[in-house]
Amino acid sequence: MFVCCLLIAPTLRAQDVTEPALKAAFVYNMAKFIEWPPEVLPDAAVFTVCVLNDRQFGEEFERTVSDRLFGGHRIAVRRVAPDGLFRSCHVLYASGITAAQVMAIDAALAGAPVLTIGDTDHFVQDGGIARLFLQNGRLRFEVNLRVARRNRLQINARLLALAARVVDGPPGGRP
Amino acid sequence: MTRVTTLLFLVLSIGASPAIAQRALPDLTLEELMGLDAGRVFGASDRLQPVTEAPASVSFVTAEDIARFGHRTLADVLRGVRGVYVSDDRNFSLLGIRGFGKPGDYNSRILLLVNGHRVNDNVFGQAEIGAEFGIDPAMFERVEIIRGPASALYGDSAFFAVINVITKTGASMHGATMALEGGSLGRSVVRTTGGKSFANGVDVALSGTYERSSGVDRLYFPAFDTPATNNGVARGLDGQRVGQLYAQLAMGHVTFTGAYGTRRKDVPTASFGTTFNEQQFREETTDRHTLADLVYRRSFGKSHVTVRGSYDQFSVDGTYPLSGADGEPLTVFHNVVLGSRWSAGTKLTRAFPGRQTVTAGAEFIDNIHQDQQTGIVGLPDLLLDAPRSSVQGAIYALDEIKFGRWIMANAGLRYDHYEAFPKVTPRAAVVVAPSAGQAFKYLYGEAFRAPSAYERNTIYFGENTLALRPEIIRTHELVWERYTRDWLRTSASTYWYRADGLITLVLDPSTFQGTTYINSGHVRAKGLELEAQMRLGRGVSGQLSYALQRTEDLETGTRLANSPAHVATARVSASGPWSRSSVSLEVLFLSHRQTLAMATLSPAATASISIVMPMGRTFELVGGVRNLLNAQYSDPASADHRQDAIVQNGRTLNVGLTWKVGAK
Repeated sequence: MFVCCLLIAPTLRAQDVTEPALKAAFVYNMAKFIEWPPEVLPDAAVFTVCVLNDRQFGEEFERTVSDRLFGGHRIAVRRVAPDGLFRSCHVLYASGITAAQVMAIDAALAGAPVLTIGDTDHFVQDGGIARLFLQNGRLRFEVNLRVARRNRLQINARLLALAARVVDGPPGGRP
Repeated sequence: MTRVTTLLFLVLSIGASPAIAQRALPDLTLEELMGLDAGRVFGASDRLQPVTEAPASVSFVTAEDIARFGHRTLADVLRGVRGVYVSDDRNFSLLGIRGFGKPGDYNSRILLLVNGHRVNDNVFGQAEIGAEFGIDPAMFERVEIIRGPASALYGDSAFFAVINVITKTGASMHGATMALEGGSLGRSVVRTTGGKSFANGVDVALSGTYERSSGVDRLYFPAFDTPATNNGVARGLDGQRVGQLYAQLAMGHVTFTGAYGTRRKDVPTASFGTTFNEQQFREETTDRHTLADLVYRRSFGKSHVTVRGSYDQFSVDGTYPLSGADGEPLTVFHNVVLGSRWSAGTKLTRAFPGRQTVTAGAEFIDNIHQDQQTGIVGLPDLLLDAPRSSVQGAIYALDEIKFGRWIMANAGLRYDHYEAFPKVTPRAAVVVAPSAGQAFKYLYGEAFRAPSAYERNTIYFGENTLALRPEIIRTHELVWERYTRDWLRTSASTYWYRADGLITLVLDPSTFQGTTYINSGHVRAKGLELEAQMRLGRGVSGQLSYALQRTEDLETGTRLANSPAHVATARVSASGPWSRSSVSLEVLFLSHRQTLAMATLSPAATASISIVMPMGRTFELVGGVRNLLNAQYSDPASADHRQDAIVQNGRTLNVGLTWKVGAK
């Protein structure tokens, strides 16, 4: 009993870190709760994270994953242009884009299993899968489960439980 | 002092032992990452931005820090912040920063904001930071301390620093709590809070607090040590009663914040020449604050619009017993100060991503009441009645331009219009940030403090005070901030400033008070501040700071009163053996200070410890010991006191139990 108390995960208190470093670590950990269809992530494949616009996030993400693997896969970080080819990405991190651009990306992906993560106000309503935002200095996220299902991504229930909001609810839920 | 150092060393060595070496960010769980702070500040540019990009040297304290360290007032929260020291005259708390903490000057050179809205009163210009502030620290989400002049953005009073208190939303509370606390000095507190964020976007937060304490029963003041004045002992005159209500309601683009606070304090020091140890007609003050603030915020593409309308009311009632000569009966004076204002403001921010962010705004303030009245208890007619009012307005603009990938320039200009004078204030900054984790800043800022309605009271101080002009300060500052390997944040800042035309009280036999105010003081200062914040893993975190400062009167070349050369703070917090439990230690050190009578006070070093221990899921036990080693020290007194220094509290204990319902 006593030992179990000592082993309980420590609580961390507020300590400011930089926002790009925090988001990079968050995206890396978030992806662990997502399951991609086996055909887009076969055993020897490189796990590709594409970054649109946010230079600082890209640099931090490269640093974050430089000596790490993702579920046994090597990780590549790629900068992409707004009209780029996203279908070969596993994760697309898009920062500061307009609603029209979000919709254009959603259309270009046409259901390809790409985890789209953004930071603009209506990112998930406009067709993105996960939106990161800061509330009182802390990182929070919301998820559009409908788009995730359509793009054939399985999101672990433990991740959904941490979301500030899940748009469109679980299967069989309210429309 | 040595005992304090040993204690601190002990805690730090536990924290730094290799057994609990820090973990890199990607190795933390999502829950742990969600508990970290992304280091953003609102008050430096009136919009959210990373601390490293802000045109100021910034510190902040979070709700979690406040809970862990058991802070009970805004003054407690600010005490451990780099370069900040607080002195207490057993009625009001005076904030010292950058070596300036003039006794008797009630924080009129600090701008205090609640969610970005000014709450300094409109009679004295005072920022009240003790229990009289009006909002319970349990309802603080964050407190931002933005050093340096900021009048180019905020106008009046943003002279040495801006303190922005961000209050809790329903989303950050998730449920209801009921707390009972008790402790030394007859202190008892009842607090109830509740908050919820509903699925339809409505967010509600509420709280109510009642606190009373009897204070130190026997306070000894050598200045009154005569048989006629109870041998210098003031008995049972240190109590206070505090009531605070807070509510916030957010719906769509609109947020309403309302707060009401009242505090009645007995004054044991016989300030303003009142009768010492008077028991029947006590010297006491009652401060009341009312705040109603409605904000509409909306984004249109890359533009953000804010429209704000607010009503503030402040009042101070005081009773002052004065003995007549030789056995004449006591005369009890009653002073009433009432300030109220409507303010309206609008602001537009437009971002051009990767290039620049432009902000422009305007505000208008109608000071409906800036009234002062003095009467004698039992007499129907007032001795003095000075009802006044005024209006003021301002426009401002701020531009942040990015040059290439690393360099950001920042320029601002504000025009303030007062009935008696206009004022134009500029500021400029260059921020070089080679990476997201490192920044070098050069900051130039000017600020002003307008003469307060109190200082311009011609009945008290004569017609000459109408010629008073704003005091001004010019500050240069170099800042270096660095984040190292996910666990250490270091910051170094060096500044030099010159303040001119400081509004100073001088003798003038021709006025009612026998004194008046003139623009005469000149102060020059330079200083160096260092800070390190670290997260050592296993829930151990710490913060160390040191400030070296030399603030002198230009005419005499001497150091100012209440201006310590060294200010050092250490805060260390460790997670306890049980989940969500913690032990936190705070050590504060001030080197010797001079009083107004040029006496030298010995250095003040205090240590306080605070424990949080959850009991099951619904109860939480808190406890703390302040001034653990029972250090005896005094703070310099103002000219309104016969004492030259005022003794501070020794060791006190506090315990409390919180019942939580529906918390996540």
